[in-house]
Amino acid sequence: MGNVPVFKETLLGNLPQEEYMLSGHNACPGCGAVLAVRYMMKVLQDKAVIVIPASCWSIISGVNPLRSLETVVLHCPFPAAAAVGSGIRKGLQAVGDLQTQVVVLAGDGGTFDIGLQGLSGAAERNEDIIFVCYDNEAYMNTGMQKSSATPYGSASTTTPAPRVKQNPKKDIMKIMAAHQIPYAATATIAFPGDLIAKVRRAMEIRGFRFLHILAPCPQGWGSPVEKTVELSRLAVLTHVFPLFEIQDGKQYRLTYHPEDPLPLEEYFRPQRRFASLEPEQVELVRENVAYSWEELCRKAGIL
Amino acid sequence: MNGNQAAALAVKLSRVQVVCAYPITPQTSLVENIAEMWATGTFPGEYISVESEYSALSYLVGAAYAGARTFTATSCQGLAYMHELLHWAGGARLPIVMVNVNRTLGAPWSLEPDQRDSLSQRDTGWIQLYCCDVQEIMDTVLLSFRLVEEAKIPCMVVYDGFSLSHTYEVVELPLQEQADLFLSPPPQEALFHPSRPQTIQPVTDYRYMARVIQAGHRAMLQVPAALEEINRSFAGIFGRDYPLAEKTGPENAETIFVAAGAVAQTVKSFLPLLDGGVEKNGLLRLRLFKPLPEEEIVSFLSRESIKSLVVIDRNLSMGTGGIFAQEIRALLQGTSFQGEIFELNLAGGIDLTLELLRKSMEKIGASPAGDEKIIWGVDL
Amino acid sequence: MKMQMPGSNHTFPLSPVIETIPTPVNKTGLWRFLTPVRKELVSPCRALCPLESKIPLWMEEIKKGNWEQAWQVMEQFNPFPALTGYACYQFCRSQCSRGEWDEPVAIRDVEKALGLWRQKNYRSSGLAGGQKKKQSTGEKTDAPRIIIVGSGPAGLSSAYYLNRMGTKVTVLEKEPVAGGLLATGIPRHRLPREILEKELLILQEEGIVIKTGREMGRDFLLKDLTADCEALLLCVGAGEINPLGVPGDNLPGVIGAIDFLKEVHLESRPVVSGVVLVIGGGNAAVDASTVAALSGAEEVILAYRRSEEVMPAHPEEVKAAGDANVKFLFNVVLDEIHGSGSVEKVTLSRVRPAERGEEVRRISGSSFTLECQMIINATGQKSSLPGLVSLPESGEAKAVGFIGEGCSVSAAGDAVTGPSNIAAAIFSGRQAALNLAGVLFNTSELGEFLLPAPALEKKDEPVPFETLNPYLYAHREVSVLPEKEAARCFSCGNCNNCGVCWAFCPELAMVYEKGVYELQLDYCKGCGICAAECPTGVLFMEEVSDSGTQINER
Repeated sequence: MGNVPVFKETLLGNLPQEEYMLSGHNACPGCGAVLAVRYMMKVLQDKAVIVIPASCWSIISGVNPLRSLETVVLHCPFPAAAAVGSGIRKGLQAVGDLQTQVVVLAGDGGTFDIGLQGLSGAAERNEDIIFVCYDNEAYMNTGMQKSSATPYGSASTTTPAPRVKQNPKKDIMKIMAAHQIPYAATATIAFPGDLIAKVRRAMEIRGFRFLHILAPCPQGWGSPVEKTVELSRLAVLTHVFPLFEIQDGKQYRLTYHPEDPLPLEEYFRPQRRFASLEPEQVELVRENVAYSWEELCRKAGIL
Repeated sequence: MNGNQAAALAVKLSRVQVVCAYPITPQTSLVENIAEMWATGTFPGEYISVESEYSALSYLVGAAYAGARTFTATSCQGLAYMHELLHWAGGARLPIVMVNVNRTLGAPWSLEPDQRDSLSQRDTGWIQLYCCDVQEIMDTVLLSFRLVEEAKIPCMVVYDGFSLSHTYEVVELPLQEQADLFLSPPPQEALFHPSRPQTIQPVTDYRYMARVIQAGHRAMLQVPAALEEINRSFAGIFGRDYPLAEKTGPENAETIFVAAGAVAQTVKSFLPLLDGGVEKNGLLRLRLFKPLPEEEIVSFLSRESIKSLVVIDRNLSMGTGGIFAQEIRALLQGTSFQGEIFELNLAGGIDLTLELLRKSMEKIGASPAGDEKIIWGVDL
Repeated sequence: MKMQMPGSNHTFPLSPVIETIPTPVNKTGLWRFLTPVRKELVSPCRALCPLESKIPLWMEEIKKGNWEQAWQVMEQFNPFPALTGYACYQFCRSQCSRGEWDEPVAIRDVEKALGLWRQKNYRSSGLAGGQKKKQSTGEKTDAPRIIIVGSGPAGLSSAYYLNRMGTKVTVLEKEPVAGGLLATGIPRHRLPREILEKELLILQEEGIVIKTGREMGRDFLLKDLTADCEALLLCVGAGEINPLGVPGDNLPGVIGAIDFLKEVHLESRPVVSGVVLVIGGGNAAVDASTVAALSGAEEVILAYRRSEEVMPAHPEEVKAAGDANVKFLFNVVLDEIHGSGSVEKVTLSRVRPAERGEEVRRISGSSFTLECQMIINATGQKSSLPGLVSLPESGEAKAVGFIGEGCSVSAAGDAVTGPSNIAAAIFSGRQAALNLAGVLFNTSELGEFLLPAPALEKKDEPVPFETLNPYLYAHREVSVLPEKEAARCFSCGNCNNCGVCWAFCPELAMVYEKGVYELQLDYCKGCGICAAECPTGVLFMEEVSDSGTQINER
């Protein structure tokens, strides 16, 4: 066992060979959220317990009596994840366990929407937990209802075409940065080496750590199942979802710097949820993306 | 000391490991007292001030998952905000102790000691104990930890806002050694470790769920007898004997008042001053409300001499009536109870005065007016 | 106080304990309707390589620093990477997929590094051919005897493989030095002679007998040899010059390119002087021009009857010639050579630009004269096979018949194919050895370990760039470090166990065991991410009827 060495030359980086996730889970074919957790678990191993609020992962982790993760999984109500996780950490401390990491694994609903208050509270208190948001940009477990992580122009069952979502996606990273937490980072499944490095980094830090992982959902996004990883990559290469990390809410660092962005259309085209986007709307998104990218680069000291 | 101080002190005596709360009138001084002890190092447990009651109970759900001894306190709106987590803690059978200081639920805003806040959480799978004085608050918080840790059922210790939370009374202080003798030391081992995979409260089907609910019910039915035993143990150490339900009055009493909390204490003090005095009048003070100690109550109330029951509810289920009254009616169904049941309703937190009680007695003397069985305190 | 805490007499029923069952009991493979199938495909470099070398495979080993393993793969296709590493025209590089991403992989440089590694380590590596021969033949004295006529790349390649199979190989060379065109034809700037000498030394150390100065017809007759061997292989090259066919083409000062190069390289022509005119447009013409220019000629002019664009010489050679100040005349033909006693001047005519294979047409009145002292004829050579050996029409190097008792005679190299290049000649020799193995041995007993790689049955379309996944690679410039440069190889069409399928499988259905990734069909839901992400383009989603079988085609 150990690292699988052959990735040396690819952007994947070295991936630990050990798995702490099991086959036979009930996720849809081509699920991005599964990959996110699979990579994460390679680092967490049996050093962390996982707290899961209502989300796809409530199911993927195993419907009673099944279990797909090789660790302790604690389920909790939808908005409660950050507080339950914090409480577990404090409870463990109270009974003498200072080592076990507590990792909250929430979807975008449990992070951007209903979980935001508890998340903000825990972040402000600098609770000693890792909060991981696997973001598939809508309520996917229940069939693609809009969340505040749903991007502008996306159709959903609650913002059906032609009246697709008219507001941009909430910028959760700015919100987390505003809390001045020790560590916040974005990651996505097409860059597992980067993702794993960030989980490792998070493991080394004490205090509140936040990971925002973009995890495409072929069912919800209306994309071909085999394109899950490709879309994750395109999100980065088009600057829609930059990979970066923030320390103490102040020090920004880009962890992957795609030179010239690929055309947005390459990212939108395979996704049915964006089918009703008109060229002028794409132009609007392009401006927005360019603005955010520039802002990020400035913060990272690149511009 | 006042009720909030007594509760805070009991938390310290119980060696609670994690306290998490959000301040709300009239519970605030309780939290402040704990914070003060925590800040000065006299309370060695963890105290966390969170951003909402929702998170406060979520926090304790987490801490209790891990195995720690936990405590929180809230009131009215805060308790309502916790509602989802009350069910969760009940379903997960977590040994959490919570104080709820009764206060009227809005709208409109009010600070009076209405009991609807705690009573509307009747079906969340929590034990509910109602206190009537400051000493009892202190003692009940302490013994609740014995109860929850044995039964693995969370417990809510309830007392009235201001009339108990902020009223100073003389209290006999338990010694820490006594408390330690009564209550085993707090857990020192986590209930899980990531190297031993397990799933806690997963998505399940109705078969498992039905077993969870059934087990919860059957465990709840064990509570009265267990509490009786704990009460005895408590009495052995502290010399104060608490019943499941406090019964006052002669064998052949004709009128029995039923009440819980500070109101019951008030009624008790008024008994000699009422028509018939202590020869004709008696009191049943509900202490363990959830679950009701059925045997105890039925044997006390189904005596032949009793002509009328006056159930005093500082609460109301709109469209039905007082909640204690409902429960008593249901309990007495099919028993030998022959008397009539009257409801004196003080919903909104009406203060029970001697005059008000006398007037209501007059109303009972005459036959109740109209279709409404309720004697409205507000109308007297 | 000494009071016991009374133990509770009450039992509180708890929720039933959850005994979890790991999800692998769920055979989610039942959801699948498409199945990943792995197919090995021809890489663009291999498709263009005269040796059909599986370049991605040895690149892969070098990438990992496994030089010995790299050599093992390499020698199946090419026993002389040091020679080709210097002197091959690297056809492979022109279509390298990496070129679509940033820059093509410097395949020849990596090959050269491997060749030099081999030259340095052939004794210690334990993989030297000599050792294999000993293993396979032991003390046998009845090993088949092979005589190879000609020690050019084809002859040496055959000798290498046949020797490794356990035969006794003798190579006869007419020149005083061995190596054929490698010694006499290839300019020194393209192939330093010490590299060749080292290679010859290795062959001799491995047991191959090389006899120089032995010319067929002069020193021996073909039929004399047949009694002394079980197989005779003719690798005599294509050294016969086509005459220029113009008046004056027999004047002293007119010389064939091959002869000219030989004279220079064997130092029998100490100096070149005056103006040299080279006729032709192939590699021999350009090589001769460059060598003439570097050997002291006053001026070298290369005259080619077609345009620069269609000149068959390799661009590398043309560039080297340009660097040596060779002047080029395109679209001209030689009309006549003038001179009394020796070449003095020539008449040339301009022609209309014509495609290869198309007749050139003179432009009337365009003739002009040019003074020169030497004319190098590089218009083409033909096979030097003796007349009694005939070739089948296909031109393939095969056993062509039997002369005498039990002696198989065959031919390989330029003698069969006509003038080609080093790589093609080595390939031809390799195939001749493979064919001879079939005649001399029961090849299944010999084992494939000792046999060279067979030729491709058909050259499939190489893997298209679109099916690769270059996004997994950062843009990177060519490196001079072989390991680093090899790592730029996309391994098109060849599964290199990169593990991308494993890394991106949401079902954890790819399992890494003993260095190989295998698919567990029980859990593959058929999403196809592995096929979409495979950087080498070897995975395809297909309908597979028998869902119970392992479907990794290797």
